[in-house]
Amino acid sequence: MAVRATEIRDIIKDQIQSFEAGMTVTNVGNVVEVGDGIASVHGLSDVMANELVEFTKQGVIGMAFNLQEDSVGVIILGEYTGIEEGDEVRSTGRIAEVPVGRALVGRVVNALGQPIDGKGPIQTETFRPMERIAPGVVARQNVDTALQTGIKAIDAMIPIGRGQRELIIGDRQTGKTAVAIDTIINQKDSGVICIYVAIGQRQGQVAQIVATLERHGAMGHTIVVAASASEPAPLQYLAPYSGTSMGEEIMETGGDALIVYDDLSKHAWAYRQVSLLMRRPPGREAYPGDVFYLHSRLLERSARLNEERGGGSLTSLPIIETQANDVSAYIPTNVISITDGQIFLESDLFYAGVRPALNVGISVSRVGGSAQIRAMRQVAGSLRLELAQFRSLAAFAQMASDLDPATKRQIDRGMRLTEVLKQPQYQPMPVEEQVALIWVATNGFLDNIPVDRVRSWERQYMDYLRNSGSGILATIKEKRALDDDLTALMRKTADEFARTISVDQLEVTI
Amino acid sequence: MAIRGVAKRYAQAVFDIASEAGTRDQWQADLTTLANAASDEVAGEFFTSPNVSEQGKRAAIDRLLPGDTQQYVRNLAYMLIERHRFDILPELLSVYGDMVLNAQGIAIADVTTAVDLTAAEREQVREQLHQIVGKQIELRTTTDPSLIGGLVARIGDRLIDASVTSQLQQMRAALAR
Repeated sequence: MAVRATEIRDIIKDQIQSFEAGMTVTNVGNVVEVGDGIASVHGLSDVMANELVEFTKQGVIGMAFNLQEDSVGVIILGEYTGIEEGDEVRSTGRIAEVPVGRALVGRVVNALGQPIDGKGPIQTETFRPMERIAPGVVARQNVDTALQTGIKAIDAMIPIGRGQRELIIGDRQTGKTAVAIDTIINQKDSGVICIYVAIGQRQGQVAQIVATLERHGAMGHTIVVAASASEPAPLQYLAPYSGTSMGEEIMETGGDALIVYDDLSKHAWAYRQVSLLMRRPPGREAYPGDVFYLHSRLLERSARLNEERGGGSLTSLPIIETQANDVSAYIPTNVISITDGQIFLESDLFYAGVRPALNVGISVSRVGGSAQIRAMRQVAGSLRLELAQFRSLAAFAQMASDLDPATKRQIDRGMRLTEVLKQPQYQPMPVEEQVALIWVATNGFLDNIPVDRVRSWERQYMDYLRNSGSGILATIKEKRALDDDLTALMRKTADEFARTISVDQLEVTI
Repeated sequence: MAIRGVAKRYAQAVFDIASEAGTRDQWQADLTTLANAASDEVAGEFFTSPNVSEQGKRAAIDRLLPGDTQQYVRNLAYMLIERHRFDILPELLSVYGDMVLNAQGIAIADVTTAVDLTAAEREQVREQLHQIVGKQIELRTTTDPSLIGGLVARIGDRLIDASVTSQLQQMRAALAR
């Protein structure tokens, strides 16, 4: 559309004529002390907690954080180096808020919801306060729908439901982010909007994650909120809350959202920094006394709303980085106790080639089977049992030279199941394929395949299922449960496949 | 900042005593004398130095305050010396002054205008501010040509901005949106 100069002139003329700027009455104060991203302000007697204030001279925004008798502790949300003692600070009457809504999907924004991806302004009229009280018991309902991560080991044994909080915990370089990213990629056709909150990460890493998501077509349903390591601690502290507000908007309009906090250890560090600068008393590991509340009020905002409230959900996957596998440190224990289960990733497993490096023994999901489709529940029971037996025998088997046939059979089965649960990155698997695969694995069809050829077998069998026209995958997808007819068909198909392929045709993958 | 909290407590106590006895003005004068002493470089050093004995400081206070000064004022001075708080006096005086004005229903307004106000205009501004704040207004005026027109008034923590500059800024923000 060609824009004519006269039209623009008329619009501006209109705006000027209708412009009304009366007298404004505001609350003011003066900076007493400034530094390290915080300022102490004298005055501002009527300011509210979490109200935005403006440093008039620089136009920088801050947030009232500590309200004291004579002064207000302000965290500065932006460049603070130009602020001087004595500068005027005005209250704005607005509580800290972020833009929300579907317009943000596909964008990369900072902790204040401002775009940082160079794709122009965000067209949204809806704003929400960053901090909000979580939905109460009346507004909620049970978690009963699965959120498919596309990762075999998780969907089968540690199912995550919509509205659940599942912690991903492990040392550095164990694939925590990879699990979260795969889950986001797998939501491409599920209608779940994903929010990835990067806290205290390197800018380069954030750029890499955005590029990965774009490459796998996942930015189309994802919002990235980035408060990288170079940004002031106050912004890193606020980023998870603003991300959650964006998720709540989706949830309360009846949609399903998934939010990943990567990671909450760095969030706790940022909050510790802000608190110590504000002279709040330090406690254990120098964290302030309310560091538990910091995370509990954040994670409580994840919920599954009941039908009267639209039935939307906000699922969260907080990530915690441990040091040397120590889960009994302060922040890990806090977050473990807040969440509805945890996924443990271990470097030993990672280097042993088990990827995702999931420790299935100590990973749990407190929501459990109600967040699985029935077919998965039917096959996962025996998988879990056989793996548990395998683990109790595995250590013993390393010593013994000859074992009785029953023990040997269990160990062989366990090794093959472990192989089956391995999965390359960025290749989430649909749930019906997972069910079909776990069914053949737990029903002995792999027992004659050498362990190092199991993955090749798996790949060829999945291709066979997709192309054989047996309709197994479609039936599982549609019925969501296994019945006698279907299991008979699966048995027949697996037998047929076994006849078409010889072990020599399989490549060695270990 | 902490010192202001301390001064506030003392000022409140002094104000209560003065109000009960009806000697607010006298207190103001005496506190001013003491505050001047505390803010004077040499005298302030003398009264806060640990090298000077308490008796010495008390004697100096006795000489500083005229003979007919209320006993309470002396007591305050002695007490502040004993508690090593003599340096809060200037702050105490300013807080006390605010309390007295507040009790009299008077508010001080710092009014900035682009051009000097005439007497009639001052009266008008005073009346307008009185209606907004609900208190008697004592005007302190300054001029700042960068306002272009209108005025900015600050009463305590409240800022009433009716300047042309800020209206232009608002218009700019509205058009940019």
